[in-house]
Amino acid sequence: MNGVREVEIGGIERELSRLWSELAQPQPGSTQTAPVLRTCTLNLVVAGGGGEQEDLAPILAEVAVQHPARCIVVVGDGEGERPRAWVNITCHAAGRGQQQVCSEQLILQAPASALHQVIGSVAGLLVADLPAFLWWRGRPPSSDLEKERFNHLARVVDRVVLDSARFSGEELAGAAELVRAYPRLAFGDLNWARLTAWRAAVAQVFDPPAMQAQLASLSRARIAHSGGEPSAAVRLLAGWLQSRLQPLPDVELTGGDAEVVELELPGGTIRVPRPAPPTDAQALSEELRILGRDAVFKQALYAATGSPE
Amino acid sequence: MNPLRESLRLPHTPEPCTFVIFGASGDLTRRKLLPALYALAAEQRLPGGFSVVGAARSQWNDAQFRERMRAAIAEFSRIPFQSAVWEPFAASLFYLPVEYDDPLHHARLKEMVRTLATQKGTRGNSLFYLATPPSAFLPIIRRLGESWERGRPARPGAAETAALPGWARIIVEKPFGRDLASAHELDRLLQQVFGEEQVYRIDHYLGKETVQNILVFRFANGIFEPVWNRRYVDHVQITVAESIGVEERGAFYEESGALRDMVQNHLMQLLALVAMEPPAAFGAREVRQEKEKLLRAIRPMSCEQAARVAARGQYGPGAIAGAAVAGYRQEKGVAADSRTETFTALRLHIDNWRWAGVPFFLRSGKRLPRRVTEIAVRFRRPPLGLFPETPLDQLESNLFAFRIQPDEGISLRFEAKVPGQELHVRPVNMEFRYGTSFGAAAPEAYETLLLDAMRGDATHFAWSETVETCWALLEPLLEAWAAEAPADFPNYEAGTWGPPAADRLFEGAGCEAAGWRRP
Repeated sequence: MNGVREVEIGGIERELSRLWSELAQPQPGSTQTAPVLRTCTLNLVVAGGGGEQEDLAPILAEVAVQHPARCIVVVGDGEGERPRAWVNITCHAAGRGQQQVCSEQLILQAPASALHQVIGSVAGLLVADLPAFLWWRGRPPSSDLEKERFNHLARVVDRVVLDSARFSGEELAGAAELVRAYPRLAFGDLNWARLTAWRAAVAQVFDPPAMQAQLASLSRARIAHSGGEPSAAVRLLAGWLQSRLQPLPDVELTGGDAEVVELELPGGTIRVPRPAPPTDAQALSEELRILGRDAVFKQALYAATGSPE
Repeated sequence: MNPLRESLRLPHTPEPCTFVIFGASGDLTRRKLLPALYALAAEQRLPGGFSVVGAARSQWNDAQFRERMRAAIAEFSRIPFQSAVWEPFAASLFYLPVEYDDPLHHARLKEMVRTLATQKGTRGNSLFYLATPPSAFLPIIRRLGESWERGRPARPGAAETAALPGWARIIVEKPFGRDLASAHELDRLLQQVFGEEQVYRIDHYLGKETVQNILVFRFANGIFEPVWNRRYVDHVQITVAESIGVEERGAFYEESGALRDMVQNHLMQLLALVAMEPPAAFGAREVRQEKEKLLRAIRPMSCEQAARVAARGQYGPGAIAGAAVAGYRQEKGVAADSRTETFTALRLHIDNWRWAGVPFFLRSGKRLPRRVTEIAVRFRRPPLGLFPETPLDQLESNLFAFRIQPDEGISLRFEAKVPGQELHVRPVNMEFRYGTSFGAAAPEAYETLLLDAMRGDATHFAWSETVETCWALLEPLLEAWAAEAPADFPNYEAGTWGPPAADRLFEGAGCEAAGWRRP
């Protein structure tokens, strides 16, 4: 990994070119002419978060192994008066300790008063012709200023990834509104990706045809959750069951010690406990694999928030 | 359909079924089948109600089978062993000792599958896997027909009460015969019991990601197909090289040789994929039809032509990666005067409108300098030399290579100006590597193919007609080589790229290139 270098925003591309030529030079004592390989499969813009940047670097480094990308991190709580930028090239060995695969990371920081300038520069920094993702780390934008910032970024990306893990019921409804407000964009949610294994486990129960026949008799499902208020994850899971099944079952959310789905069927109650969720990096990797629209997520979100289709 | 499966992310799982492995105590089960099934379980790709019944001669019980498979998975699975995946998976593993020709044993096995059908809700769907030596194929297939009634759905006279409902499919491991007659015999037997649509002949090469990518590369991109023909392509080389020798398989290899072991199946399948016409749809039937059409267009050879269009070799002692290695005749289980070829090279011509005049060179061998499988498509040189400092004959042709293994990927070689005041031209490579663009680990070929068979998708399995077409094509060569003892065996040193006779295949081939690539 190279050191992080501060540059002017206007000089980012020039600095990156310089870094790449530097990396392409043979190491002293090595006869290899191309010690590193530049690979980029997508653009990932990270924005909307607060100051908690320290947990971000390991996630992005892990994701870069699965999805070599140009990452552009927009930080909105910078000190001082002017925007600042840093560039960095991170590398990892591509299998069997051979060649280094490297991807680019750009950090753009600005005080709140100058954030719009930084956001405005993102469009010009995206690698052409590759899909662009926005990982919006915060809650759904509520103030006019936040909405304007989100809107600015949403115009230049193809897919938005939220993380509804800590959303209240109202904020989850805000996410549904956001999905409705941007029909051009595809939306994803890390919190939804964390549910994939649990959903697969529930779906697996109904693979045998005899069990499928019982689905029509599923009148009642209970999802137990730990803690006081039901989490957004549990709400989404309930929304998923309701949006997929006909006739609509009653889905009850109850407090408990562990997260578990209980399905009341004529043959008895089936319990499906929640498998260990993936890490944030694994969830983000899953979201970045999907380029199209996730209709099942959208329907689950609408059902979870009582939004009309 | 299970409505809860509908999603972009939840894997498309097959219908629940029972997977019956004949030869469950053998090496293939331990090294490939169970590790592949475990990986599918870990990725939640198996349907609820799925179970495995192992059947073999070893006198094991369920617990012993599970214990052995647990060790095998820990050793061979792509996905690290996790108790949380293993526990429920192990509960779906069962074992029954059987003599393959004993009707009573088959009746017991059938009862076990029937019980599982009720308990697990599989409706009796059964997938049989012949992981036994070929000598056991015959009795098993016969018993499946007689005792199980697992053949064609509408077999006249089949007792409804005896038959299990649901679908039945059978996976057959290679070799699919050792010549045209024995392949035909195996097919005749299979087709007495099963319909062709129930038979899945597994060639693990077809399950490899990079092999499957050949069709995606050719038919999901618009820019390559226009140059993929005789007008632009000079010739094609297909190499399947192994650096290992025959290891413990000496006795088996003595009976087969490189032509039977590699060329008849793997290389011919690779040739079909790289040269076939676009199929009408991406379905098993359409893809197999186009492959068959291509293979039928290969110009037949006569016994007399064998020396001109093919070369055989056998390795002598040599060195690989700095270590001295024995010659083939010194390997365990190999005759001291063995005539078996460990290297085969062929020149083929495809007499159709796309490829007329373009030679296809195929080679495969053991104890070659490195392990590599690739398909290289070499294009014609430009018509004129424009740059005086680099005459036309010094220009390297454009070359397109599919690297199947290792370092899976695609590379394109083209000419570029060397920076400087002079106008010097040098070839450069543009490379795409799977490992760098897609970080996710690719599934093993067996994972892909077992799942395909459970889903009823035969696109990546060999067709009986194709197997016989390939045998028919190579039959004259087999005869010529059997009739005439090789005069110069061993004729290549271990650690070299084969005998000089392989290079002579380029003489009079009608292409610009004069030799093999060093991949």
